[in-house]
Amino acid sequence: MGGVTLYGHPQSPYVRRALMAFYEMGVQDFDFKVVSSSKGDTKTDEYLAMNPFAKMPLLDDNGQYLYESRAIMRYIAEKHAGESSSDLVGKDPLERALVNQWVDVEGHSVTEQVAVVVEENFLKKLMGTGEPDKDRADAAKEKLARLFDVYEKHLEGREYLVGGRFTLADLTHLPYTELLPHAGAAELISSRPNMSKWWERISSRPAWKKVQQLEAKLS
Amino acid sequence: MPKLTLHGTAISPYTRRVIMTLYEMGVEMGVEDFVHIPVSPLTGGTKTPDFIKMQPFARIPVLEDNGSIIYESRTLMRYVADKYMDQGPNLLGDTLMERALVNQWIDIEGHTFSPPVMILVYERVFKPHLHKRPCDEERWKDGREKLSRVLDIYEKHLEGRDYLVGNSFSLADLTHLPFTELLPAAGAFDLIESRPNVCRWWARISSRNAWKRTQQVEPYEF
Repeated sequence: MGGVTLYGHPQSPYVRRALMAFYEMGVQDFDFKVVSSSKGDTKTDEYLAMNPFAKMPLLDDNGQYLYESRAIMRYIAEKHAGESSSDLVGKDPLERALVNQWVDVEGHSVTEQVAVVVEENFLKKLMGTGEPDKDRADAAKEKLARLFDVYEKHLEGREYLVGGRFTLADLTHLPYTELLPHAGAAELISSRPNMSKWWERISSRPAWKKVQQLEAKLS
Repeated sequence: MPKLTLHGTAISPYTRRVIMTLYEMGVEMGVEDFVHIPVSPLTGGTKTPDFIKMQPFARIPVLEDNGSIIYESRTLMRYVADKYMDQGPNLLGDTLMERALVNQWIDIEGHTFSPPVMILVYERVFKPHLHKRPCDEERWKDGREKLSRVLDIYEKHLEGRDYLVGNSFSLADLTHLPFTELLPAAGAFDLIESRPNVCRWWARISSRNAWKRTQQVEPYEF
């Protein structure tokens, strides 16, 4: 089965989210086309015809285009569910809802704050786009601390967020959380024992290592 | 005994998203189907120990279903559409790819469409009416600009289409109803009206009976 192409940059957290789903489900048969937004690749007429929002990742499955990283991860998990013993989605409406719930908490509460911390304390210096706004970063770190207090309590006696196994609920947290140490904010996780154990567990999965190694492989 | 309890004032667009889905799936308010408890963050209702035990992020809406607790409005709309699939319409999508496209548009709504809409609604409606604070005009103008760019893409996508995905109403359309409902009060409905395809789509989805009934649970004064 060919004709599946994922467009994106291997460093993009959103692209890494989609790649993780491919690797977790053991999908081998797909092409990865590197595109760079800084080089204008996502603004060409050709790209906009596929994703008019000019964002990455973008999936081309035999001529059908799909975008938004969390929609792609759900699609890949569902499409390949029969081929794998992994159930990343949830086995009944309630379990599916709890997975969705944590994906929504990540997408609408956590990542917003992580992105601010990463932008101020890491990206600005890296890309030379301006002086870090310490107040903005500190406010985001404070919000994250309150959110992570809830995670810490939830993970008491739990190895994973939902269903006693790795699901999309855990997967979706990998890309941005990975950047917290670069932004000098690793202690947000390391100071919380349950979150530390959970992070160690999910980030040491072979599929995640594969995502992290992809860029080196491509060059 | 009620099967479901929905916690959250219907003034909240997030709660409206869930009530709309319940009504679309034929689940009625009342002792037999679902009980509605209009707890409000404005009166401290989400900061009580009992509420925090149920929803530790202190947000509405929350659904209690026979002892199980679920939250996040888009999760709840998916759950209701999933759970009542046998008795109501299929709002999730008919095929694997259609389901994916519904998810794609729900994410576009949540991460690209609603943020500028929320800025407009917050600045021009919630701040003055609920928080007694003045509108930040610069922020409001910036919200209009951002929403215009997004709506240009919707306008093109909705050419020759009645709905965002496939040939029938789905969660992709439903999820846009709350917040957008307040664009007239936010002084930005002209952005919808001036785009024929978006305008036609909005008229179609907002005239659904279930939406009219949702609005009547707690009609807006603004």
